[in-house]
Amino acid sequence: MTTSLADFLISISTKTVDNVIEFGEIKTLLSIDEELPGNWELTLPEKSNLKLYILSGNMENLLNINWRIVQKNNSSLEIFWVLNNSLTTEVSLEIEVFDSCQTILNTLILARDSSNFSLNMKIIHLGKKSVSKQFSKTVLEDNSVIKLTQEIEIAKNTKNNMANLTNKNLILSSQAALSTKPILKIKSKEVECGHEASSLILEENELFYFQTRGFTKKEALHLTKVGFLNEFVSKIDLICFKDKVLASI
Amino acid sequence: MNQTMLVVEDLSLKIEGKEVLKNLNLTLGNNSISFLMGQNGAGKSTLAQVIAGKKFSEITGKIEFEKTNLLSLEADEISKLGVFLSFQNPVEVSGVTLVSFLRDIRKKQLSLEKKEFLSGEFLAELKSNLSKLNLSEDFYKRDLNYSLSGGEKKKSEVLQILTLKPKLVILDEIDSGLDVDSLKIVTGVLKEYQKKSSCSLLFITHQSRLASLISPHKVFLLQDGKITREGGFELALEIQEKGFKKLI
Repeated sequence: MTTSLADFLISISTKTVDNVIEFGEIKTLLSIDEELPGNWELTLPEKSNLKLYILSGNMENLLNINWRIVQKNNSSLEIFWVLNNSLTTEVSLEIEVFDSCQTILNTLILARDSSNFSLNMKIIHLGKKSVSKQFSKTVLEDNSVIKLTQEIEIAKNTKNNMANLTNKNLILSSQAALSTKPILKIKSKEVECGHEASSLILEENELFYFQTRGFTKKEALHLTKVGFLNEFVSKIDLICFKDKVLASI
Repeated sequence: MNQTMLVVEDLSLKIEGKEVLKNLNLTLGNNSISFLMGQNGAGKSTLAQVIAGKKFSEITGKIEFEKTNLLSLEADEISKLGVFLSFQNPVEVSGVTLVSFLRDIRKKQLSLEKKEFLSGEFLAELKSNLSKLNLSEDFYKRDLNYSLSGGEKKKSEVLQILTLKPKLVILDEIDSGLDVDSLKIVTGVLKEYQKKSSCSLLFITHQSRLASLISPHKVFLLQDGKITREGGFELALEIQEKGFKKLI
């Protein structure tokens, strides 16, 4: 299904918890449930500016999302996507970017119990002078599994694009499994790209430190997560969404 | 010595089959300043961690704090009794500011005591403590021990002591990472706190230079997992003069 931005917003409005319009920007808070169709194609018109705040999770059924977004010249897109402890989640997101666009994709995965996440997030630069950033944080507990592929492609004959991939993970259980794959496909010479990845495994010492200050093990674990996720949470500029995210940590 | 606060009796500990503590005995009184000295690897930090609630599987003996058996308690429960361990290497936590951490631990403590947390009072006390430690006012906005220098981390530990107001403070190598001036400031603040609160301080160190700043009432020498000698300030001076090896 191909949708204009206006149609897209109208169609999701019946399924959103909150729709917020602030300062002339369109900010849309989505709370995804199983009724939301998984397949979307969305075109951002020239000079449009969209921010999406998506909170999905705590579902018993399979969540399967397959989105394709096309950004026309001079458009701006920022997505905050928080995936919280679903049984099985498969997400494929592809964003095509033309000239002088800005694309920021912030992803947070909170995986607990036996949840299983598989995400493919791809940004393709097809024009010139665009900037894209993929920033992801994951927290793994219990027997959870995360497979995360973050990809940025700079197509042939494009110019002066900048792209960056960042992935940071916190592993709180020896039973959890994480596989991350950062991919930079650069087919043009005039480009500036970077990537950074790190994984932290919780050390007993850190928990012990908090405990010696009066925190129980459970509280210490929560504090560790809050600290790790602060970098992500502090980027969120929509208070009602930030509150929802903090409540889900 | 005043009334007994802490009793360690016949404490033995093995880690991966190796005997780290061997029938160790040690007693600390209320309102006292003591030194636990020994070479690197003697077992000083391990003993401190065991008292503070670190769990090990192969452990026997007894540790009593104000007649409560600590070996059966979790570290947070021991903290709530009023025992504080200042870490040799405090963990770095990014994303949690020092002020929010201090506020949380103070709130928790006051809630246990069924007392009200007053934000203004807390901040005024924090600012006063920062000034005592010669730290700038915005120091509390920094993340907990994250990217701090060795000396700043030690001062951050002392700030926590002044906030939590424990009855027994175990300071694991508080002198490491501190320059001469900072060491004087930190020891001065700790001595003032001890005098005001009548708490007990146990300094763990392998440097005798600290003794001249603190003047401990009691000095314990820990060698090869057990206390081999105990005495007054003069023992620290003897260690300084002869070194550990000659005292074996």
